[in-house]
Amino acid sequence: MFKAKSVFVKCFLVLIIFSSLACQKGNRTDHLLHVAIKAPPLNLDPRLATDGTGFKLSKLIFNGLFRLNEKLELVPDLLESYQQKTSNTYHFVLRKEVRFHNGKELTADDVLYTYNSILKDEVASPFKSAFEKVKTIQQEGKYEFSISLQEPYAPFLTALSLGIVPKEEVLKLKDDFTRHPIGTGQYQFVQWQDDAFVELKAFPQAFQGIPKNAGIRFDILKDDNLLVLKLLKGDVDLALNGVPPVLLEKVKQKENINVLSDFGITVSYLGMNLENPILKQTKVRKAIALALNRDELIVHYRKGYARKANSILSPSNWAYNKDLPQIQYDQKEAMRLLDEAGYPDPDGNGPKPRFSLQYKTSSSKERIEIAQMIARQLGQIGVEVAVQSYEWGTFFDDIKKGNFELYSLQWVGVTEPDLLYDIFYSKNLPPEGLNRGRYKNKALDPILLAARKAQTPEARRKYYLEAQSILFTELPLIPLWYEDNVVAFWNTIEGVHLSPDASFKMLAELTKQAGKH
Amino acid sequence: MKKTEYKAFYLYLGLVLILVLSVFAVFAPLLSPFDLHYYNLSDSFLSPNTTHWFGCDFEGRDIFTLVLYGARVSLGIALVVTLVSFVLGSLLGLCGALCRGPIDNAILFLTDVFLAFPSFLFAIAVAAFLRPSISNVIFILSLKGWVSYARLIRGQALSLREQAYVQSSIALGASKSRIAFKDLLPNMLGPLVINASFGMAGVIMIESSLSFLGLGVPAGTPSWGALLDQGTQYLLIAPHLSFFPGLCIMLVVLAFNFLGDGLRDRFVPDTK
Amino acid sequence: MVFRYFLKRMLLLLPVLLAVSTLVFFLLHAIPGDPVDLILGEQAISADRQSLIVQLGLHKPLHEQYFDFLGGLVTGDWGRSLYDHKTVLAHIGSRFMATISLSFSALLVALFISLPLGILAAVKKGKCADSAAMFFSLLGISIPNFWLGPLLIIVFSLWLSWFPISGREGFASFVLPSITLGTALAAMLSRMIRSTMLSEMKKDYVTTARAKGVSERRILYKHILRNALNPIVTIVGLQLGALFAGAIITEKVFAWPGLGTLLLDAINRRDYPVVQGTILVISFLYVFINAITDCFYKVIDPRVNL
Repeated sequence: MFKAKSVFVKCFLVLIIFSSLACQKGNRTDHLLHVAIKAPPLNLDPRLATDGTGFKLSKLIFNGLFRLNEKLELVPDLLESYQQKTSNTYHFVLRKEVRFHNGKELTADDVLYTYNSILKDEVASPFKSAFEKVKTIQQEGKYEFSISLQEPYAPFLTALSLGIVPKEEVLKLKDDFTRHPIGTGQYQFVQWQDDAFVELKAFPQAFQGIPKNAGIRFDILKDDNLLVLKLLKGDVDLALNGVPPVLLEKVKQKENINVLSDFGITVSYLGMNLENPILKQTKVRKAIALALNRDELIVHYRKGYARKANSILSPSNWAYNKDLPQIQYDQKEAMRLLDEAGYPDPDGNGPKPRFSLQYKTSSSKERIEIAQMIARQLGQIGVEVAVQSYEWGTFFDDIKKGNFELYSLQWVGVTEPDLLYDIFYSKNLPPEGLNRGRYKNKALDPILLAARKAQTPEARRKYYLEAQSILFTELPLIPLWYEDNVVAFWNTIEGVHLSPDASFKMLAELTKQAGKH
Repeated sequence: MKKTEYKAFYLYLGLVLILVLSVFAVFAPLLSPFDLHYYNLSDSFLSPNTTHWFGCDFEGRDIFTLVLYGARVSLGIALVVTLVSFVLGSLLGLCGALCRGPIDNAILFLTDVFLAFPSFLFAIAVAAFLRPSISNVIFILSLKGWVSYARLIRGQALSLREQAYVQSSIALGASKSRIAFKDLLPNMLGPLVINASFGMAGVIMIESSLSFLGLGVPAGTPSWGALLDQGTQYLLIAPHLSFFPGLCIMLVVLAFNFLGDGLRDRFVPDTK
Repeated sequence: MVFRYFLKRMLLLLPVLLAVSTLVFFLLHAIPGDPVDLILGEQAISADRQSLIVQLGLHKPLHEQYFDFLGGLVTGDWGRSLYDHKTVLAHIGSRFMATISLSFSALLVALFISLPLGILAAVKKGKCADSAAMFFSLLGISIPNFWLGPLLIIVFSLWLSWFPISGREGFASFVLPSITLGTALAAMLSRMIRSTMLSEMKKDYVTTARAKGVSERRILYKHILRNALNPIVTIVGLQLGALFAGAIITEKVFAWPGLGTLLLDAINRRDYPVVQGTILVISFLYVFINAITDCFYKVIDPRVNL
């Protein structure tokens, strides 16, 4: 009996001692920047990477013919020069002496291989649709080639920001290339430990210039609480859009941590099914928009880190229509419009609604909370909204099939205004297109088509301005807000700045002062 | 204090707790200080104070109110599941015991198959395929719930069957259902109620667990498990969100366990 | 002879496992949700969904896919994750040890608590200590682990900073999850240990030993405990299988990279091959351990008719 007790006590003491020993913070011996990411990349092969993390990381490892600069303008990256010869042919000249991470030089061979591998289905690339417009690709020298399209297609150049892969290596590694990527970017791939981290190191021969730090370790932290705690403890130096707004206060309280925020391009929106008899009517949609108190939503759910939206394109976009007003918050006007549309409130201020709508959302908690808040706001003008949440697969299936009335989602990383064509052109119904609301406007269609064919950015811009104006009047979907990009980082890190697309490129300019933690 | 007194204490304690919680559940609308849909964004994450005894959640909703309504959900579901399992289990168990032969073997095989898998994994697997709704939760929990009742009743029925009064009923040519309901069932109530009591505890646990994983009740329903799920998200800034719903789950489960334990010691010969 | 019994048990398991995997396979395909979309991403204009569908083998008729699946199971090709193309076995392999190690440390914690508690209760039967021990065991069974976990986190990680809040890194990170997972088991075990001890204590050899004048303590350790250990070990084995399944919640609370979180994530993403593989592995573990323990039971006590 007592023997058992003393054994018990001894073991307990041992456990405590062990734990406190184990609690000694592991000293960070590497000279790497530790950046938090919330999900592992799915693919590092630029031809395949559509997931957020994979996309951003592949931009550090690879270069394309073009890239987006901090103003979201398309500028040459691997190109020394280019020329648009006719309305549908382009001639490209590559930079010389660009090295892959294995020392090999990049040539037109690699570029052609990259594009052809997509066209010929050697990889099942989600980027194929942009390349389907290609009629021929002609190599004209070690560094020169031409591309001719089947018809003029202005957004084509944006597609050419796709990373170029080395032909030899890809042929050798095949499927494994995505986990052992070799590119021309400022960082080269070191290792990828599943569910733990991805490590990159600086590439000394990078043609854009060697990064200011030795390398970066991207720590995969799926759990928000864990991410915040690791940031607070200093295991992680920087988190870009990693800390949920609700927890930012806690992070800000810490003395040595800075928080920077700036305008972003991801837009949250409320989608509506325009085949629904009620939602078909513009007045009803306008009324719904007027009834939304977006300030309240932004203050509460984004803690102020968002701005009201009036278009799919954000103000940082070159095609954004600056002359559009903001949608007001006006319950009286909303109710008046509903009366006019033929949906009076049957019992004045009583519980009976004018009509009911079903609001589907994914099982993401933020989405559900926002949905419930919107439901309350709409309830105040007499529209009864039932929120139903589904796990993602089921939810997305319903959206594509048109089996919904209201839903909300985001358009992430909106840089190319041709997205308006994908979303609002009447024939672009899912699953091939993104017109989930089933919006059909015969007046808008030709404008969107013309914008694709226009030859100069100015001409395109004119069309997009008009398109946004129409969309603002019609409101086939209601833009809610543009999310800000928020970066939280230790004050020992210097050089941090944000670009609207929350790109990781700025990481190359960061340096860390020694002697903290 | 003698052990028997302790056991009686558990029995009554369990009963009292269950009664109190049931009252809370049934009269939730009357007892709750706030309306279920009341919210106030400026009270977001308020700590427990005199107006909001359990504090507020993210939207400033009163947690005490949510917990009260949550009692309805959890206890309600548990009650229905237990009833369904009980009925189903009794029918199958009695059938097996009285019919014997191939029917009995089939029923036994069924129970073995169902028992082969951990309840919880089974529940998750099925829940993943169904849309979240209260009726689906009841369906899932009853799928495995009937097994323990069936086995218990079958076992009891088999031994009771040999009793004189049952044998005489059979000799007199009474129909199987008559034997089942008049002779057997009334004498099995003791162990059945005990099983039901532990059963309630188990169902409440699994339902909360499913809701915690987001596979149980639909979003917006104030199940205790779902409240805990929310609480885990905001653990760093509002730990009180997690504390109270969890406490309630523990109390209810404990109450049913006390009850079952107490009943067992009172009505079943003491093997301990 | 026992080996034959063991073989027989294992053979019987096969049809059951087959039934489970078949059920899971067809159910997964019956529910809405398209893995192709999940891979292409929600904003992709469906460039060439067809080529991806072909690449994933999703174009084949369902029964063909099913036989491919079965064949693969046997040959060791459990397919690749639809999401990141890593083989299912690699996914399971990387998480397997995490779940096993968590389960075993939970078991250790459970034994650590339940052995002294159960023995104490048996020896002091009828007195305060017994009742207190049994009260705590009832409490242990009633605490939901998704409440206990966060509670422990609040106290020991947030307030006291003794242990990490979540994740699996180093010895310290095992402590809180093991306690969370092990508590319910400890509660159950202490009751069983108590009753096993009590039934041993009633046996003849105990009275004989006492008559011979052997000290109480010696009787307890040399005789009773030794004999009780066998059924105790058996019971522990039976519970171990349940531990693997029960770890799912604990893994979620502590963001533990084990089979449970793998299953939950895969279900959410409709990653068919991974879901199938994981459910199979967990079921197999559970059933396998039960079979072994049953056999062990038979070895100890040949009179037991299984």
